[in-house]
Amino acid sequence: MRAFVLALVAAVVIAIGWASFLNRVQEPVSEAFATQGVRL
Amino acid sequence: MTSVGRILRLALGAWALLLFVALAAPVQAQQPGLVNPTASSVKEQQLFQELNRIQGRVTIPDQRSGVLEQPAGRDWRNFRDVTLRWIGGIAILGMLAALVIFYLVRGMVRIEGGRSGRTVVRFNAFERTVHWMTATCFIILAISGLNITFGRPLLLPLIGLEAFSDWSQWAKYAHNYLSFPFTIGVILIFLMWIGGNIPNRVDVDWVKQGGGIVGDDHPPAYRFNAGQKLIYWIVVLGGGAVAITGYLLMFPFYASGIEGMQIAQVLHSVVAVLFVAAMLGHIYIGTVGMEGAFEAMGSGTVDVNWARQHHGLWLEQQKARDAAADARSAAASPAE
Repeated sequence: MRAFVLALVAAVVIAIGWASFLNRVQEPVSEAFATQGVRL
Repeated sequence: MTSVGRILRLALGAWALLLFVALAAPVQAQQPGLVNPTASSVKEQQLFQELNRIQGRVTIPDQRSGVLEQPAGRDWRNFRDVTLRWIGGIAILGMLAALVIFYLVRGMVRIEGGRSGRTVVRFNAFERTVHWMTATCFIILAISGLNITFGRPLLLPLIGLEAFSDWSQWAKYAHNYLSFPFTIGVILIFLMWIGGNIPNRVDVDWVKQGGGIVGDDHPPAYRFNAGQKLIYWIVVLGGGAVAITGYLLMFPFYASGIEGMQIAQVLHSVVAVLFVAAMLGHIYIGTVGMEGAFEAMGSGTVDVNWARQHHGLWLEQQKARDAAADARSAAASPAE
C-alpha cells in the first residue's frame, strides 16, 4: 500500500513539473494563432 | 354606381395581380437549376488535380495554416475516423471476450497444495513503486486516449455536449501531463528488469508446456517466465513507441511537418490500442487469473508454494543466495 501511495505522489509531482515545463515552452493558442497586424 | 364599383373591383384585382408577380419574381430567380452562380468557378476536385492541395495566403504568423486540404490529410482522417476504431474495437473487445471465455473454461490457476504460510520477497519497494507509477499513469493515459478515438461516437450521446467538452479538456490535460511520469516509469522498468528478461532456452520449454496456464504442467522458470518477458518487451518497446510518437504530436512542427505528424499519430494510436489489449491480459493474470500473483506487486512477497509452482528455478536461486549469505555471516561472526 505504501508503495502504491508513493507511486501516486511521484506521478503527481513529476506531472506538475512537466506541466510547468510545457506551459513555458508551448505558446497558448491565443498567442500562436494571433497577429498584431491589421487589415484595412 | 354599379359600374363605378365594378371598375374599382377590377382595378383592385389588377393591382393585387401586379403585386403578386412583383413579389414572386425574386423568389423564382433563386430557384436552383435556373441560374447557377458557380457554374464557371473552379471546383475542389479540379484544384486537387492541378495543385495536389488547396492552399492560400493567411495573415496570421503560422503560414502553414494556409493549407486547407491535402490528399494525405483525407487518408489520415479516414484512418482516424474509421480504420482506427475498427482496429481498437476488435483488439480491446476481442481481448476482453477471450479473457472472459478463458476464465469460464480454465478458472483461476490455484496454488497446488495450498499456501505454505512462508513467504519470499519477490519485488522490493522501489520496484513496486515504479510499477504502480507506470501502471496508474498508463490507465489514465489509456482512458483519456480512448476518449479521443471513441469518445465522440460513444460518450457524447450519453452525457451531452457540455459535459463531454469539459471531460475531454481535462482528459487531454491529464494525457499530456502524465505522459512524462509514464515515460520515466518505462525507462526505469527497462533498466530494472532487463537482466531477467533476456530470452533463453528455458522460455522455449515454458512455451511448449503452455506456461502452466494452458494444461496442468508447471514448467520451471527463473524470475520472469516467457509470458512475463513478453509483457516486459511490450511495455518497453510499445511504451517507447507511444512516448516518442506522443512527444512528436505534443510538440507540433518541432521535428516534422504535417505528414510526419500524421504518420506519428497513426503509429501512436495503433500501438496504443494494441498496448491496451495486451495490458488487459496482464491485469487478468495478475488478479483473477492466478491465485497469489497479485501479492507480488501488492505486499512484495509471495507464498513459497506459489514461487515453487511458477518460478521454481528462481526460488532455488533465492535459497542458494540466502544460504550463501548465512554462511558468510556465520564465518564473519567470532568463534565462542
